[in-house]
Amino acid sequence: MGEVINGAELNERLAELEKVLKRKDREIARLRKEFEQEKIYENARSNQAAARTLAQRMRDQYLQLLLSNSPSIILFLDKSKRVVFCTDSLQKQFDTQGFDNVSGLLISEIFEPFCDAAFLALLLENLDIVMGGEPSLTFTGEARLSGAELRKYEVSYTSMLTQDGKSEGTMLLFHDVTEIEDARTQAEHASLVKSQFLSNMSHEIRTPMNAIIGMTKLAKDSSDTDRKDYCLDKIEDASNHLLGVINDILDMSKIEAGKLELSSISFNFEKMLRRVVNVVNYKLNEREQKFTVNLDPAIPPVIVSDDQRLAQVITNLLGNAVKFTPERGAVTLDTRLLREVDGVCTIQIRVTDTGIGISAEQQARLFKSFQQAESDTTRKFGGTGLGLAISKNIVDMMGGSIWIESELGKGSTFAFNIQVKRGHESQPTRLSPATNWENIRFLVVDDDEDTLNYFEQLTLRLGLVCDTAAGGEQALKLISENGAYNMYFIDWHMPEMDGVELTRRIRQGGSAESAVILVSGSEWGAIESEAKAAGVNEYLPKPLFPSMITDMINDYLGLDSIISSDPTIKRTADNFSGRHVLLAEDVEVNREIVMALLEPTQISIDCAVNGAEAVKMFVGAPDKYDVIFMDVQMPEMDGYEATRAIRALEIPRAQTIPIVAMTANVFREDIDNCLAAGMNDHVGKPIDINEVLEKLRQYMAAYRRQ
Amino acid sequence: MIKMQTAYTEEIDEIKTAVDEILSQLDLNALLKNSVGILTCHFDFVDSDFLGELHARLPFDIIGMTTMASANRNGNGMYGLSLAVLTSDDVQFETALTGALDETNYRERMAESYNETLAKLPGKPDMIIALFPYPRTLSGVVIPSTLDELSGGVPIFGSLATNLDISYDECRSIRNDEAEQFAMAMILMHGAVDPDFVVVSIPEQRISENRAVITDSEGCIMKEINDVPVLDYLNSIGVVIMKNASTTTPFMVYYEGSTKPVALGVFTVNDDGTLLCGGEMTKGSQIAIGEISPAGIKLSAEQAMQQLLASKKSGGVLMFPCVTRYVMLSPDKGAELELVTDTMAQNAAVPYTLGYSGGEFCPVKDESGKYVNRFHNYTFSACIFG
Repeated sequence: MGEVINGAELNERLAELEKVLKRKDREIARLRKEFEQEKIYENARSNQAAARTLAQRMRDQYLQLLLSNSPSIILFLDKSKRVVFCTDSLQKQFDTQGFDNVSGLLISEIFEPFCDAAFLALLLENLDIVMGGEPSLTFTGEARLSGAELRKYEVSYTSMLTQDGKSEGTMLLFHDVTEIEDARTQAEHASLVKSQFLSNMSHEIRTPMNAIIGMTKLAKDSSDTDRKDYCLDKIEDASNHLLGVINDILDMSKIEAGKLELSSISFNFEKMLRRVVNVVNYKLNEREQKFTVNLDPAIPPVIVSDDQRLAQVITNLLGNAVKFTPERGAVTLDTRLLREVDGVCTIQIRVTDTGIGISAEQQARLFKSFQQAESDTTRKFGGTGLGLAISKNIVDMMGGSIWIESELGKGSTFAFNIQVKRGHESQPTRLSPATNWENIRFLVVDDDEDTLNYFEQLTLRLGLVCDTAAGGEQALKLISENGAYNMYFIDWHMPEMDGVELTRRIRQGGSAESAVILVSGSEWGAIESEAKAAGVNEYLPKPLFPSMITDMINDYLGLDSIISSDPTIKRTADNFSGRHVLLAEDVEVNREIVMALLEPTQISIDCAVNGAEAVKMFVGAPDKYDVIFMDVQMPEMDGYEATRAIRALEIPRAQTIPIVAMTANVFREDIDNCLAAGMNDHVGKPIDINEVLEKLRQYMAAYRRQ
Repeated sequence: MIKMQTAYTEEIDEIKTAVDEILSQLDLNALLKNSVGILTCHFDFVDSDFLGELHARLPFDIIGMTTMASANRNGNGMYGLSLAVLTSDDVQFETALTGALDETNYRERMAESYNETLAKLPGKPDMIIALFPYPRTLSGVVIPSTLDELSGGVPIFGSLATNLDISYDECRSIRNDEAEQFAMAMILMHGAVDPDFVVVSIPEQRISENRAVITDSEGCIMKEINDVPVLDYLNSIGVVIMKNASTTTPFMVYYEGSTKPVALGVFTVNDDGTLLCGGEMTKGSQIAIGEISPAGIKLSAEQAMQQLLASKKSGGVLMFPCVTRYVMLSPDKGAELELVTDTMAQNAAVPYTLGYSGGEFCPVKDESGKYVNRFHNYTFSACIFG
């Protein structure tokens, strides 16, 4: 019979079995979860492997790209100096037609056919050093790899070490440094040139400074007026020279920074030339050099270009011509219209001298900055050596070209072409139409045939009757034959009878109503009193310009003579008595200079030491002032702000009063800032009294007309 | 000062036996004026009447969470329950369980529960312990950030619940006899609370070199990488995110201005293919795949234990290492537990409890030395009471 189990025992057993079942279920669940966790784990591992693989794949890709496109030749050699890998660059260089053709070859087998023995020997010798234990090494050598031009290579070796420090090969990298080396050489040379330039500039600046300081002391220590005048003359010369050096340096800085800008305006070409001539004339006279100006009548009277920069170029070329031509030599300025298309004129300007000439080798260096033809030239003749480089830049910006025609010892011609637009003539140079010129007779007396030809050509163009004489006796003969002329142009320096003596004789002969114009390249001041006493009416400086002659004729013979604004023709002194200027200038010495320079005009000057005071003074008496001269950089309130403040006032005169900036800042943007602030005009510092007077005349005349 | 007692049982089926076993390991007479319990356990404990029975026989509140594995001085394993009792004369403990939280109501409900509990304290809390079930639609980062706002920056330590298979179905937070799938349990502590905190993450060298850019995101939801839908991008680089095991592939996020990346896990793969992550996935940040290796896990665990032992405090230690660490130690999953138990065995005077975490709340010190609350992934975090 089987075992009898009661209910309680059954329940107990059942409970036990349930417990066991629960534990089994839990165990199964745990195993199931373990299995799932393994899947999770594998997924995580797979993800991590994928990320690693991707990173590796991308690294390989970058490396492949790098090696394929590296311009350097890179070689990997094994312990036996055989190639195990190389970049495409080597294959291209040696035209190996595939890596298979170089793989396994000795480095000597690859390079021997393609480079010289010396380089190969050095290559292998250094390889042995690295394979012998040196971890890295670099050498630089020249080689003609694959028969090409000689190039310089920097060859770097790096030992490929195992984890326990044993060499299993070498990496070689050939880096072509030819261009870098060339650039470095050029940079070193440029640095040397610039150092020399700085040294030269130091000299160019210190020399006039020395003169200024020294002469100032001498002047202060001397009680002799003549000596003081002498010192002051020297100080003036040195100051102007120093200003020229500073301007050159500033211009060069602008050019180097790409900030040199041209500013085109409409201007009279001949008058611009006259201003230039005025600048160099003094030196020409001092060196007794003959100076001729040939102005092509085909060139439009008014052109559109940057007059200041054009004048700068011509002044530079003329200055050089004067400097490098011996005393009593000759300098010629020629201007020619080459062509005109649609209002754009190509003008050629040539400056020819009978100076020392320039060799072909020197010519090649001339237009480069910081260089004169030779450093000896700098020492002998002085100068910054920047003028021609600046001139070239300006001419290039004007759409032109500049060149030299010269031979050593045979003089030089510096020529340039530029493109300018034809301007509109506002005030043509012409003879007064109210005068009957047919009845007017002129006599030109000059021992220089060129001058006589010039007058003949000019008077012919103007439709005037003109006789010429080569000297005083010939002139007197013509007068006795033909009677007194209406106007005489007489050269001063003539042999046998000079111009002053001839004038005296003409006046003695009864030509009291004739106009006698003394023509000369010399300084008028030296002979003015004697000439006037002899009967000379006026002085006309050489070189001659048509407009000067025409203006002179109109002044003396024209019925409604056009008043010439030519500053080279002496006029009566400015008289501004009863007029008032407000001068805003914070620097005392600058105020003193302006007041001293304007003193002869009898103009009344009130001074303000800053912009705020200027505004206050103007508000206090707005109708008192004819013009305000406003310095720009002042403490408390600068010139811009003061101008804006004045213009913003609700006073009628505040809108109309002329405000002229007096500023050392003469860059284009500075001038634009002045105009934008409400100023009407500007004059540069150091102050040019003629410029200041011109502005005063201009703005006072305008006010008078209001 | 806070002291700790611990108890452990693996008796899942016999409730009374389990409770007796727990009580036998506690010295209720040695309890100080205030006490609270923190338990971590296998889901089956929750799924039975155990909690009710335990709560009925204990004179203090308890909070807790389900976990992958638990440990204390009295035992360790996947099927265990570890109970740690914090007791103190000068610290008051108040517990709470919020209503079910989702992305629309979490602020409101957390505030409500916090304020109700706060009212029971004589003043502002000095520390908060928070336990929250594994998030489905809510990133775990909102827990410390919201509590931080509510409390004014009080240190917050705690964990996301987890279970044997890392999925959220059987994750629970617990308070007394209640176990909830979507509610947060917390303890507000007021008084002389001055714990030390330890947080050690995976080593930096285990990060992929390949970086991409998060090009579309919304808060903690990552939508696009390199202008490509995030899952498509990950597939393109051979990375597969399993819906039920998304956290095992850490994303290293390089926030702007930060030199070190932050390891963030993916908590949920949404139906639209976007990923809910364990932190802000700021648009424009660079991202790389991180690696969790057994060597890295062991190294960081050793570092954590060293920092822990260097603390002068000995009242008791709460440890919440990240559950992904447990999985990724395979085949030697118990290695970290073994390290902890061996190390703590040599420091017998210091009670401890450990529960594997689905995401760690632990403060870190900023440059000025002040504690700043943070949510971490993949770390070994610990709180040492003194």
